[in-house]
Amino acid sequence: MAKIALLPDQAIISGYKGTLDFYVYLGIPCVRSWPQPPKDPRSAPVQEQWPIFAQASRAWLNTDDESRAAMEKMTSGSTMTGRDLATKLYINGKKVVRFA
Amino acid sequence: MADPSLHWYIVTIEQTMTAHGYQIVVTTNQPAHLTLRWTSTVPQKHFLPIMRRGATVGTLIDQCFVAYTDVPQDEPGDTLVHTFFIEPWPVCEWRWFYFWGTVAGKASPSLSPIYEKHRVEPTYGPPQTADFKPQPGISDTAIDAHCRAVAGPDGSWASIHGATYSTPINDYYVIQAGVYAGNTPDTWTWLWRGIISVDLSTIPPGSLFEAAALHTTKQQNYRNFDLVPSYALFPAAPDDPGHIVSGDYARVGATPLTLALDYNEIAATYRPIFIFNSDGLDYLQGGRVNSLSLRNANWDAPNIEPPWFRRTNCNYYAYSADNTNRDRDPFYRITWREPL
Repeated sequence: MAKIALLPDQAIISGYKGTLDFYVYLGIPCVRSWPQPPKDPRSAPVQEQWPIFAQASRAWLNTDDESRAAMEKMTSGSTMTGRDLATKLYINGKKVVRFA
Repeated sequence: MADPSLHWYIVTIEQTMTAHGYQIVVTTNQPAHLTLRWTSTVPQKHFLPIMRRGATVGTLIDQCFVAYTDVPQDEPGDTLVHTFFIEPWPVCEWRWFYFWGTVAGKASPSLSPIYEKHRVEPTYGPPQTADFKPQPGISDTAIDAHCRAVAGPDGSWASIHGATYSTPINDYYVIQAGVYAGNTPDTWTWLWRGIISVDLSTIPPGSLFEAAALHTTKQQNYRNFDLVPSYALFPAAPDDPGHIVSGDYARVGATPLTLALDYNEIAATYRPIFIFNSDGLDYLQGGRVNSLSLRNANWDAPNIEPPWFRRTNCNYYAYSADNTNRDRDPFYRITWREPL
């Protein structure tokens, strides 16, 4: 990764897609080599989380229409989908609903 | 690392209007013990930006729930079906609610979505009237029975009224309510409380009860000197309405649900009838077994020690469903209107 003085033109940035990745971090223009997917097999901590994400995906599929409508309403105005919210509520709902 | 066994989600939710609010029943994908948390204050929604490498690529939500009330589920322990009664709920009031819970006694990080509900004016069909009887013996549903408590070693009123142990009598031909005095002044020997349950599951939840009465057939009616004992029905919450146990003696309330009948009124008829008052009509619930206690109304229920009446009875015996003559069976005659 390297700091650069200025981000280049969008056309230049797009031309380096797959090779160089341009971005801004804390207001500083930077460039790095294009991120590579992690190697198989994934690390143990990552694999430990698979079962809970698998179950979380069923939270949206198996719930009824009224619950889905409630989740869609909660996410309206954000870029989250109801499905995203179902996963979040299943894994740790207190990150979404706070009470006082 | 999160323990998958602690997580749950809502599979179905059903909401049925009752006379004074809503019955809400949810099912979950795995057993849990849920609590419903509701508020009439609109939950405020905040948007949190998702930042990736300096750019806002999306928004998350964050909702605040304030001024809330918690209602635990009716069912004990961890279950797949969870029932809640939210009452009273004024007509035209909006409420928001969600569910949180525990699994095997441990806090679960899962939450349900926030639901919103508006209470509308209920409308009801025409009145219907039917008779409902407790079952004899020990059954799967609802029986009539009574508990007999004895006083502690000091024979005091306090010890017999507050007894934590009693003899449950599930299949005797009478049910009894009243008190028997001891040999020594100001001592007491027995105190009886009847527990009469009835299955109203054929009446839909949310039905409006317009009239109800317990019809009994007198077996005995005792008093001493010029005392005038009276009797009425009160709330009861036996662990199992089909099989009364010792501790059910203490699981009774003190709010009268019927007009009281005194010794003279009972003496004047073979079939004393206990007519429900407005508290009693509010107490009845369709869709479930309802339990009530037949108690002495001037001493036992208000916990006032009676004037002592040496080694005699002040009590009322009514034939139970275990008697041999069906004409004497007790029954509730109920008039209700079903929600439309």
